Amino acid sequence: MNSYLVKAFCSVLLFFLSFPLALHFGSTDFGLNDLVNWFYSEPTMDETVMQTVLFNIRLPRILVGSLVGGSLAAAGVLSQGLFQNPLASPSVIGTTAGGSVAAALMFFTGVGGFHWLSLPLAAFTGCVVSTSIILLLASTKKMHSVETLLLAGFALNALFGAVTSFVLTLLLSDFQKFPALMFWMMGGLDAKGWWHLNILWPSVLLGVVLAWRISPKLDVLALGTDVASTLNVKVNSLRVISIITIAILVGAAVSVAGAISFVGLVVPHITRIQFGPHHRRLLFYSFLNGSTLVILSDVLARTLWSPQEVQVGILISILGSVFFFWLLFNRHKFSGS
Amino acid sequence: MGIKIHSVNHRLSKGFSLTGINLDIDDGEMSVIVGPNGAGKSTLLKVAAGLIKPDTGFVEVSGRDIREVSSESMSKLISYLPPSSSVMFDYTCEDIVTLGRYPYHKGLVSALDRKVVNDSMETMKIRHLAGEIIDHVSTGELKKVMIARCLALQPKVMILDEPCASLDLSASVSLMNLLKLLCGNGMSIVLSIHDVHLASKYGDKCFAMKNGREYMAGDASSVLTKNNIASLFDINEYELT
Amino acid sequence: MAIEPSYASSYNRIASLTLLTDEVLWELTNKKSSQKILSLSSLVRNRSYSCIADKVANVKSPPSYSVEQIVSMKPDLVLAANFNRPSLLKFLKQSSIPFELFKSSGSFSDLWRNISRLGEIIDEKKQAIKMIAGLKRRISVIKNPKQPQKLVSYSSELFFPGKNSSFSQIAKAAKHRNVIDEYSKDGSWVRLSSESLLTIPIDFIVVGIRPNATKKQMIAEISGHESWKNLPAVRDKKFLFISNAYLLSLSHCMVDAVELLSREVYEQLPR
Repeated sequence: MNSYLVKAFCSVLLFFLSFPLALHFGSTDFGLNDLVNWFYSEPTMDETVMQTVLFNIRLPRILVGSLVGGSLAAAGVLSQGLFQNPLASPSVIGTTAGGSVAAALMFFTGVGGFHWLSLPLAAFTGCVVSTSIILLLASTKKMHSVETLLLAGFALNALFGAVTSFVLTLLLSDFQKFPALMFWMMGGLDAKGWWHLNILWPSVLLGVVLAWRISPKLDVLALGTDVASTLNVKVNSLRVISIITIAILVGAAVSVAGAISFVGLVVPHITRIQFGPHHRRLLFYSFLNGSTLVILSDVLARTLWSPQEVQVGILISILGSVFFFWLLFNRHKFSGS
Repeated sequence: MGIKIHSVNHRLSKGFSLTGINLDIDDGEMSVIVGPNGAGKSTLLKVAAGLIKPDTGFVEVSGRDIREVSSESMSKLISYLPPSSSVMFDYTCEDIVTLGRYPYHKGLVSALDRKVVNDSMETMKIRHLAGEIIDHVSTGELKKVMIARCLALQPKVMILDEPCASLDLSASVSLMNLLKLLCGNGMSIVLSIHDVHLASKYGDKCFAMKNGREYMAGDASSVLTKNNIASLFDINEYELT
Repeated sequence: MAIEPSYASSYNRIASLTLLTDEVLWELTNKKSSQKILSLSSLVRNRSYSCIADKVANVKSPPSYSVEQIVSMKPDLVLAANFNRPSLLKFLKQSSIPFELFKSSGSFSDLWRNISRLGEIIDEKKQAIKMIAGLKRRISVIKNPKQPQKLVSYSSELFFPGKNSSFSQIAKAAKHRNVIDEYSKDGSWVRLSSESLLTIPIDFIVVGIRPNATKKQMIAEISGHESWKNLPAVRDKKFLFISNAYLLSLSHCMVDAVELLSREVYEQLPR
C-alpha cells in the first residue's frame, strides 16, 4: 500500500474530523446530538442558548482556530525554507515579538478599548513593522548569507521582548489590564467570533496564495544560493517575498489570537518527516495539520478544566513538544516520502 | 562559440582582485584552471557563470554577451557546480537531479523532464541511487549526483569548481573520463582542479593562474610542464618527480 | 523583623504600603494623630483604586514608591500586607525595619480585626471601636430584598472573583450573592469560558466603573464584547455601576460598596 496515500488520507481525515469534534465538545453540555434534535424539530428547553453556544461561540471559534493554525504552520514552512533550516520558525525573525510589543503598548495606553478592531490592527501592524525592519537591515548590507537575517532577528526579539516586559511591569498594579495582557501573550481563542473570522480570512488567503507560488523556488534553494541563482531563482527577491508572506500570515494569526508560538516550528517539522521536503506538498499538509492541531488543542483547552478555560497557546506548547519528543525517538519509522 | 571571457577585472572586498583575465573555450573543449590557493580560480569560475558581474570586461556565452542575455536564457545555457554542497533537507537523489532542470519545468515536472533526468543519472551510473536520500550517500556518489544535476539541464557550458575535491583517485579518473566524453559530444567544460597530473592528461586547454592574474595559458600539455608547475606553485623542481 | 502585636504602642513614623492600611488610617486619624503617618502607598492617589484619592491630593505625606524611599524616611513601623509583592516582603523580613503584616482575604471579620489593630497602632483605640460599631450598624440596616439577586462582576477577560472573595462578601452583605461562587472550588479567581458564562443564570452585572470612563462607554464595550453580548442580562441592560475603588477595596470602603450595591438593585427592581 502506498505509504504516501495512507499518510495523506490520515492527515485529511483528521483535518475534517476535527471540526465536528470541536463543535461537539465544550465546557457546556451542548453537542451534536442537540444539533440533530434541533434539525428534526424536537425543541429542547435551552434552544436559544444551544444555538448561541454552537453557532455563535463554538463555530466561529473553530474556524478562527483552523485559519490561525493553518497560517502559522504555513509561515513556519516558509521560515524553514527561507533559512534552509528545519529549526527555523517565524518568531526567529522577530515577527511575533513585534505583534506582542504592539499589543502591550495598546493595553498600556488604553487605546485598545476604543474599538474592538484597534487591538488586532495594532498587533498586525506590529508584525509588519518588525518584519520591515528586518527587510531594511537585510537590504542595506549586501546579503552574503542568511546569518545577517538571523542575527537581526535575535536583536529584534531581544529589543521587543524587553519593551514588552517593561510594559508588563508598568501594568503590574492594574488588576484588569495586567491579566488581560498576560492572557493575550499566551495566545487564546476565547471570545473569537464572526467578526474576527471576517478580518482573518482575507489575509490568510493572500498569504497562502503567495506561499504556494514561491514554494517551488524554495526547493531550489536546497542546492545553495549560488546554484539557485544560476538556475534563474532570484534569491534576494525570493527572500523578500518570503519575509513579507510570513509577516502577513503571522500578523493575521497574532492579531486575532495573540502570541501563539510553537505551531510554526513543530507542525512543518513533523509534516516534513511524514511527507518529505517538497515545499508545495509540505505547505498543503502543514496547513491541514496546523489547523487540526489548534482545533484539537482548543477542544482540550475548553474541556479539561471545565468550566474554566485555559489559554490554548500554553496547551499547544505542551502538547506540541511532547509529541515532538515522541516523534524524534520514533523517527526511523516515519522516514520521508 | 563556447565561452569567452574578455578583459575581466574585478575587485573583491578582501583586497584581492582579478586582473586582465582573457579566456577562450570552444565547443567540445575542456579547459582546466590550475593555480595555488587564493589565485582566484573560484572567483573566475563565478564570473564565467554570471554569478559575479565584473567591474570591467564581460563574458560571452555561445557568442552572446551575457549582460544582454536574459537570466532565463542564461540559466538554460550554463550549469554551475560549487566546490561543496550540503543539502539540508531529505530530498532524494532523483529530486536533486530534477531540480537541475528547474529553468525548464519551474516545479511542474513533465515526462520529458523525467526522461532527461533519467538519462543523466544513467550517464553518471547512479540510476540505482534514485530513491536514496541525498544525505545517506557517500561523498563520491554525492558528487556524481551533483554532476548529474548539472547534466540534466542539457547545458552548452558546464562550469565546475573543484569537481574532484574529496574524490579518491579512481573516482576522479572515472569522472574525468566521463567529462571528456561529454566534451566529445560538443559541450564546453571549464573546471578548476588541484591535481595537475589529471589536468594535463584530460584537459585540452589549460589556464594557469596566480595572484588573480593569468600566469600562463595555452594547450594543456605545453602549459603543464615540470618547470612551469614548479614556478607556478613556488616549489622546488627537484621535489617533483 | 516582624513585630508581635503589643499593647502599649507609640509609633510616630508610620509608613503604609497598602491601600487597605492607607484608607483605614486616614479614617481613624484626626489632625494630631495624622502627624504619625510618614507616607502612604503608591496607589493612594490613583482614582481608579483608592477611595481616598481626592482627599489625599493635598496632603503632606508623600506616596512611597520604592523600598529605598521608605528606608530613607526612617520609619519606626511599616505596614505591609500579605498581598504586597513577595520581593518587598522578603526585603522587609531581612532588614531591621520593624513591620507588621496585615492579612485580608476579603471577609468582614478580617476587616474588623485590621481596623482594631490599626487603632491600637496609632493609639486611637476608642476611635477604632467606634468605627467598627458604625460599620456593623450600617451593614445591619441593609434592607432585605424581595428576592436575592444573582450577581456577577464584569471582567473583559472572563476572569472572575470566586468564593469568599471580597466581591462575594460584599454581595452577601448586600443580601444578594455572587453567582460565580458555585464555579470556584478554592476561593480564588476563576477564568470561565464564554459558553459557561452563557449558561449561568445572571440577574445583574456589576460593573466597576473607573473615573475616566462613562456608563455609556462601558455599556457599549460590554454590548460589543463577543463573550458578553449574547447574555440575556446584557440584552436587557441589567447593569449595576459601582465605583471601581469601592468594589475592589479591602478597607471600610467595602461597606460603602455594600450600601451602593443594595441601593442600586433596589432602584432597578420593580417595586
